Amino acid sequence: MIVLFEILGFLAISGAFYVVSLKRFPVPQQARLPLYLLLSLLAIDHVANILEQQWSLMWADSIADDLSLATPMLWALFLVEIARSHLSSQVAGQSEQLSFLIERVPAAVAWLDSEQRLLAVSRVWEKTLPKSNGRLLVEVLPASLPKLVEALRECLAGDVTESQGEEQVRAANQRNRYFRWSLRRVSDPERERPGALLILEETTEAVEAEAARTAAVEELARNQRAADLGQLAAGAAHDLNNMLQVIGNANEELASVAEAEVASRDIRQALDSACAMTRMLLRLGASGSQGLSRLDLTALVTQVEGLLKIALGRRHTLIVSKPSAAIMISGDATRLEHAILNLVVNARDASPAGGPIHLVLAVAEGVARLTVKDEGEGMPKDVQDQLFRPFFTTKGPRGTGLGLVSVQSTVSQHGGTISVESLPGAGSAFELRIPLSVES
Amino acid sequence: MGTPPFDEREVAVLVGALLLVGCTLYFLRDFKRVPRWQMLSLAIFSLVLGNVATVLEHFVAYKLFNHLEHAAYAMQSLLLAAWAYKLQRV
Repeated sequence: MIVLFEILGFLAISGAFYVVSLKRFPVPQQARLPLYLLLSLLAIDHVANILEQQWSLMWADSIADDLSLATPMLWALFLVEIARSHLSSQVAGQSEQLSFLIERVPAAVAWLDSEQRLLAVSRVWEKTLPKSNGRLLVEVLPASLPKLVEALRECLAGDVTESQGEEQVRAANQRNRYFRWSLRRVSDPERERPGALLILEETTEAVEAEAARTAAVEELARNQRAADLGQLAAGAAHDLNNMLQVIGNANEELASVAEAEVASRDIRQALDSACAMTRMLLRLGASGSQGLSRLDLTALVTQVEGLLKIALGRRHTLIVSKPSAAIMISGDATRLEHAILNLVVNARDASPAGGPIHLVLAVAEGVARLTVKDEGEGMPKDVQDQLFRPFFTTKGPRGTGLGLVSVQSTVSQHGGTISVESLPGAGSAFELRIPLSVES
Repeated sequence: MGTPPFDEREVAVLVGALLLVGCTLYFLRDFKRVPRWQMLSLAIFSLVLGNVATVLEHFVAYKLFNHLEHAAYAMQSLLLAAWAYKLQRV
């Protein structure tokens, strides 16, 4: 029975020898050596026991007892080596997995060591900040980000485990750049001191898009208010026109009476003025591109130049700059004339001390640009924000607060936009951008 | 066949085996990282059992403990072989 146990043990050890000697056996060479020694010792022990039991060879028993002394020691050696090799492979595996994740994640991610040196970066990071690996973070950052650098220092020092923030920096071209970052302290399995994971994202485009969207929404709201006002004005003008027609008819009858002739003439003049006003209000209420036709904006400016000079008077000089070639747009000459006149009169009023008023016509980026610029008092930001609000005026009782609303309405009906640039004390510039006609 | 004389080396091996168990328990967290560590634990247990039986057989129930000793050593070898076989299939 005992011999059978020993034979069984010997066969098992022989099988183990075979398996361990296979190339695919997943134990590194340094751990295999103590395993071979242990298996050899057990094999000899089994053989010695067989010899002792079967043929009562006492020297074999003595050998078995001597070898048994080394068994626990070889076991200990084997266990230490196997545990160490697996620990190393697990650590290497974890580092490899972390590097893999960092590399493939679709964001700009960097793994930093305790000295703020980049150990691994994602593909997105490499794309935006090439050749970063192995360099210090401050050397590769796209801009000076002092808050991030300070947060990273705190994170690596162990003051905080994670932090996140946003920073705005002014680039060399005076353009603002926006960044968002997240930091997390991570234990570095292959290094003594912890490192950090950094996710860095430039949000400049998103911030600018949001600002543009907000501006567009505000402009839409302004246009809506102007359209509402226009509809109200159109309704009132329509009713008023009906009443004026009644008065006009009655005046025709009065004109036949000799004494009433002078009074009738006065009424006729007042009626003409009132009719002109109602026509203007009706135009303000009109929407869309009804009544637009192909016209040459260069010719229109030439045509209106004389009228503008009269409106400016002697204290102001009109300086016109326009191309010699025709600029064809789809528009309403009368409404555009009124819009230009409105802007030029505003420029005149904004320069009470006199001075030049510039009227510049040009084509850029597929639109006609008509700019009216003065060198007068300029406007603060809060005034600029309210310029296109109906009934807002800086002229006191002289102003109606409808001039720029009318200009904006005209420009909108032409599919264009209006913008203003102004600085207190440095004058203002209003720019109308009107799309060129399809044929041009 | 009578009871063989007591050999001090058998006690030394038993002490060594118990020290091995103590160290294994102390570093149990690291030991558990080894794949199929349970099999290796049973093999070590078999070794200790064989050593205990080797000592005890000189004092009581010689035949029983002698059989137990050789069965435990065989079990140790079988478990070690089974561990190696399982490991290469992981």
